Amino acid sequence: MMAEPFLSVRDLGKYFAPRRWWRKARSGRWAIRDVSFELQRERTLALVGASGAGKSTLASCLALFETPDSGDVRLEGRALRHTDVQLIPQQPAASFNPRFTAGEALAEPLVIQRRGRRHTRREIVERAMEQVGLSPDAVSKPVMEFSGGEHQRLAIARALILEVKLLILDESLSALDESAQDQVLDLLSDLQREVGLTYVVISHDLTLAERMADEIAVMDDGRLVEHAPTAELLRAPRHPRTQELVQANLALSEDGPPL
Amino acid sequence: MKYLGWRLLHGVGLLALLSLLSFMLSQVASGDFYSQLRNDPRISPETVAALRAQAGIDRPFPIRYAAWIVAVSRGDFGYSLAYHRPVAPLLEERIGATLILTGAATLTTWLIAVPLGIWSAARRGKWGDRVSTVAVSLVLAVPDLVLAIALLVLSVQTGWLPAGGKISRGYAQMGSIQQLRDVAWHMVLPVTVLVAGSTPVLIRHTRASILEVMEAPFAMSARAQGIPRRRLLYRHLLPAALNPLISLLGLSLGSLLSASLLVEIVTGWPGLGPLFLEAVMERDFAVVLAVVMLSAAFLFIGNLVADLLLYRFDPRIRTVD
Repeated sequence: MMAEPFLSVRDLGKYFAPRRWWRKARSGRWAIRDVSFELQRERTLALVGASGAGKSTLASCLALFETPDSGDVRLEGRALRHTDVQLIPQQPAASFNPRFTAGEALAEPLVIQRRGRRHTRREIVERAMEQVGLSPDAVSKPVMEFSGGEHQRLAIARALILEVKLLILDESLSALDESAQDQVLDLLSDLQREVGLTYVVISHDLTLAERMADEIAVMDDGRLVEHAPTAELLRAPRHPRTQELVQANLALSEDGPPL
Repeated sequence: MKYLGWRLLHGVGLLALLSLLSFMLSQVASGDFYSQLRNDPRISPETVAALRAQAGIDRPFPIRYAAWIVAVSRGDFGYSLAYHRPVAPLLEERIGATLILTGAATLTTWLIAVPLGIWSAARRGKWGDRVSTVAVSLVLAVPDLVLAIALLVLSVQTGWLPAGGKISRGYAQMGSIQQLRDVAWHMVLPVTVLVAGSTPVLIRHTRASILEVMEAPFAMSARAQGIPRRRLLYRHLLPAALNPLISLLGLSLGSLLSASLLVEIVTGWPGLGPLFLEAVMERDFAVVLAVVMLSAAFLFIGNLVADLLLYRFDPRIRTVD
């Protein structure tokens, strides 16, 4: 018997309509439509596609930023909750309240979810900072004084604090330079093994997707058009949009992946 | 603290410059306090000249300015020619009356506007917010003076409120609690007008600055952690939205002396407003200059208080320092 999939997304759709308070809006648009996929535990799925394809809307729905207008997302067979999933945004620096210290920012999810007491929270925060390779001594440093790569780590630490099993990374690595990217990639794969995390990575960069992901899903105009294991998808892209993306990526890299 | 010293120095310089400007402007105005006497055939030009000499306004401009500055720095604002009294005690009574009025109005305004603005922002797009937005626009569109006059007419017609003034006849015979009630009763009308004038603006600012931070990425991520609305509002949104409001608070503290001038004149409130108007009409320049300087000093202090509050409430400003 096949085990229940860890994450299952069924017929997910999100409709955006301009706000009109005097009448019902007529001219809206489905940002994503009929998106269905499944993902097993401790796997990494990369969502790729051109801009406007609906990647970020999908990420927002998965991270519970937005309420989908159709379909549902289930984790281990039940409805997704805030304590199941966290999103690492593209610009983590902006996702922190600029008035907080690192310690306050990391403890906030615990306070919100009413977990731990004052002194145990501090321990949890320090452990999380160590986990992502930050010095626990930096707890009282204002968030704004960290560097770009450190903000990335802080964001990951903040997500780990709630002991979520699913992380959504929305272009989280695009803003980093290559060496910082490498470090965060290493950190993410270590954490995946140690904590047992499942990643959904949004990216416009196929090379990055190839490095991180076990499987790749391609989005086009709000629909999921192809979903296959990474190697297979790159070797034999079936959908025309996937072929375009693979071609474009080949043209960019000098040596090109083995075909 | 070094910063505070610089600010104070800056303020003193600003006031000095302002005093020079207003002193010069008072010169440009045609005539002086005694000009009207010249039209009176019973008073000889010599008498007028003697009066002017006695008041010291026939001396050349630099000397008079220097004398005035020296006097002001000793706290002596000169002598009111119209009232035949020194300016300082004259102002004292009037300032008290004005501050009671504007203080009550400012307090009421903030107590009404900030909660309403927050409420409106939290319910953006829903019925409550729409109704409040429309109401705010309507009140904003009514000029203060029209409202004041309308309320005065209403009071006269119905007798619900005293029509102007600060105290009733027989005030001196009342007990102190009755006196307090009497003044408060007279304050209702002018305070209403002042509150109606400033509340809509403050509601809009509060609502706008909260809406702005509502969309901030850090508010989004707090929401993604499942934060309750109340905690989001008080722990994240309000502190972030506070800065523009603090600046506005500075402005409203700064205009405590000047905000009510017109309303006082219309409702006959014996504050600085009627005094200032009379002084301008009579060219009683010692009074005019004193009122201008005090208003400016208040504005400066208000802004200073706002900056100190910003310093206190925003850790980012502190780290830059």
